[in-house]
Amino acid sequence: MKKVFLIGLKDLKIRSRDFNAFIMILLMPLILIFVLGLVFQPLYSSKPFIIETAVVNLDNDYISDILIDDVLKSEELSKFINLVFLNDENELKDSIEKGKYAAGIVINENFTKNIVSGKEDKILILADPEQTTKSGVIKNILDTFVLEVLKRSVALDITSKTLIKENLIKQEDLNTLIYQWSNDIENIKSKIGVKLVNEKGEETRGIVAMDYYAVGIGVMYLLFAANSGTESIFEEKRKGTYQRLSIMPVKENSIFSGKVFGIFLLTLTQFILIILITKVFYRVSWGNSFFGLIIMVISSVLCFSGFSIFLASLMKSESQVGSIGSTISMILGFVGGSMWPIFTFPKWLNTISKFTPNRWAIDGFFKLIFENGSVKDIIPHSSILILMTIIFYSIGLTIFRLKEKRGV
Amino acid sequence: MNVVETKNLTKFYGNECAVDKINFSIKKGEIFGLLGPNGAGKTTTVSMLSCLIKPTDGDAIICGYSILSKSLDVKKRIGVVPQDIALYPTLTAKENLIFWGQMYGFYGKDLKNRVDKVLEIVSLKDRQNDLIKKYSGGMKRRINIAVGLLASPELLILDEPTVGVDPQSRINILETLKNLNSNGLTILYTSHYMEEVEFLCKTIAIMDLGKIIAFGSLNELRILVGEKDKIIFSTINDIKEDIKYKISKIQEVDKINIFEKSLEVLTLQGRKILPEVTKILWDEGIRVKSVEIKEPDLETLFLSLTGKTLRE
Repeated sequence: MKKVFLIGLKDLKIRSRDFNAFIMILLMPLILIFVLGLVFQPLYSSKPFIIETAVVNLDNDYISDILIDDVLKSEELSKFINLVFLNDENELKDSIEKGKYAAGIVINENFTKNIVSGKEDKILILADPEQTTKSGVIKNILDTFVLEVLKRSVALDITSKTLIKENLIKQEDLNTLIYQWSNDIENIKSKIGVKLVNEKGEETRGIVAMDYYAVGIGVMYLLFAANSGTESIFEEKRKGTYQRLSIMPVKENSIFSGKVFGIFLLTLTQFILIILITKVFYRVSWGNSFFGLIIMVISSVLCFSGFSIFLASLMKSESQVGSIGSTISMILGFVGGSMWPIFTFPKWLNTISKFTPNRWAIDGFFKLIFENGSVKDIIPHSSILILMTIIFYSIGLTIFRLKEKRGV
Repeated sequence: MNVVETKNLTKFYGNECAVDKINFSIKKGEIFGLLGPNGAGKTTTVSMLSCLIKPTDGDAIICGYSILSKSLDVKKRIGVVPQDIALYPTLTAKENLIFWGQMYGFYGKDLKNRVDKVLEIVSLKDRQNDLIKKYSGGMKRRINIAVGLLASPELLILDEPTVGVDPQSRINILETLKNLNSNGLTILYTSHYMEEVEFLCKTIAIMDLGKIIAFGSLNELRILVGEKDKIIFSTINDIKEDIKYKISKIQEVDKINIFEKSLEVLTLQGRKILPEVTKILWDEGIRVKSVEIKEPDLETLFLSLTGKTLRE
């Protein structure tokens, strides 16, 4: 057993002095995490779209109040619409030109009265040409609102005319009744309204791109690191050091186990360094469950070491491990959710990704990071990773032994 | 007492026979030379004796243990210096020796003493903290030997340990081995360099195509060649293969070997046939630069036995 540890430690020492390996398995993932985290942050942020919007409300009547208070300031929309009120249209135009606001809304004087009395009127939207997506969102919201107002206006018109015709109400009471009906509708709406509740609970953390890619790229590069370790088996056979180990009083199983332990140590060291560096320098949160994190790290490292042994058992040389291994690492990275968010996957890809170790590792880490999960929450993920580990090692070792017997 | 005794040692790779029922023994304190050209089966023989590969048939007893049934006991008693420089280039010489020492099962002060001792033997103590990749070819070879000496073995097996080293390093290595042998170490030395084997070995086995074709002390082997001389003609222009036929018509000629610009003739009467061979060469338009008549040596013996040179 002692010799197994010594062989593993020797391999770790050799890799730690290999500048190419340092770039490949540590520097590259750190750069990728930084770049992807920075570039894609707006797609992941919990406040992805802060639309700076200015309003000039010259109406100040009940329809414009509904638009502002119940729509634009609603709980959902206020998360990404930042409203500012201005006094006149010219000031609004100047501000838009300066790029201060993505969109400006001008509600004309007597807008409510005009709509209620069936006259034509419009809400003006001023858009910053450099922020068309954001101003487009505002336009969509207002379109929906105007359509709703029109529907109600038509319904009101038909209803009031019918009621007057049938002498159920009087013309002079109509204005008072309209306000009353509007309030009634709002009351009913508040009773049957839809409320968006985050299924993860109020305490969950929004997805941060840097955190996402620290996990995604970190997991993807586990296989790169493991492959780098596996290459050393072929390298040692080519250079004769493996044969020299075989003529020492060391059991054949101990030599192979030592090499596997070296792969595990290398992969573990790489992942721990990525976790520490991203935590200190990139401010990545790795969750609040220390033991959960340890379990996920060890089960992921074991799984990818095993997968690397399995891959190597199918190959004939270190260059094959390098080239084919890297390609497979990239494919697993793409399919397993390392490169883009799993929640954007179509159903078929989502199903396929569940056959990759990347997916289970990433999901487990996300439980800890974004859902404040505990050890209990990641048990399914770590169990599947350990199961995969057993399968990969068993197949890999069997093939390696068969090859040894055949002298390949 | 025999340190090594092989019994019909055989190795097949598929249908190809690499080593064919070889039998030899090595006495304690002896330097035994296994001589033969590349592909003769020397490395396969050494690999079997080192317990790296299993023989297809036969066995060998080393230090009283069978390589088949007691390989771990054999491994503890032998030191092996492979043909490859089997060292880790990004570790220092000392780190390499410590690692290999640990693989032999030595730790702590014992290991440190052993590392110091072998570094002194190969005269590289002052460079022990340098990375192996910064060493010259000769220095790497010396550390390669040092690893083989770590376990204070009863038998040191060296497989072509001087391949690719400069003459000075070669002399250094050979003298180191002589010194080790004078202190009682038994050595099995394989090479295709005839001079090295002649310089080092008391007993020699000559291998070709997986078989031992001659075995004995240097003197015994010289007797096998008899009084045959080797005449070496160095020429200015290339020699064509068809000249072999014309020279072989001379009755006293035993063997002929042709290279690009030299011709080797094995004969019992060197001085008698010299003018005749020179005339044939002259008639064929081949200009002779120099002629040398060499006394019988292992090279001559090999040529005599196989019709080819060791370096072919």
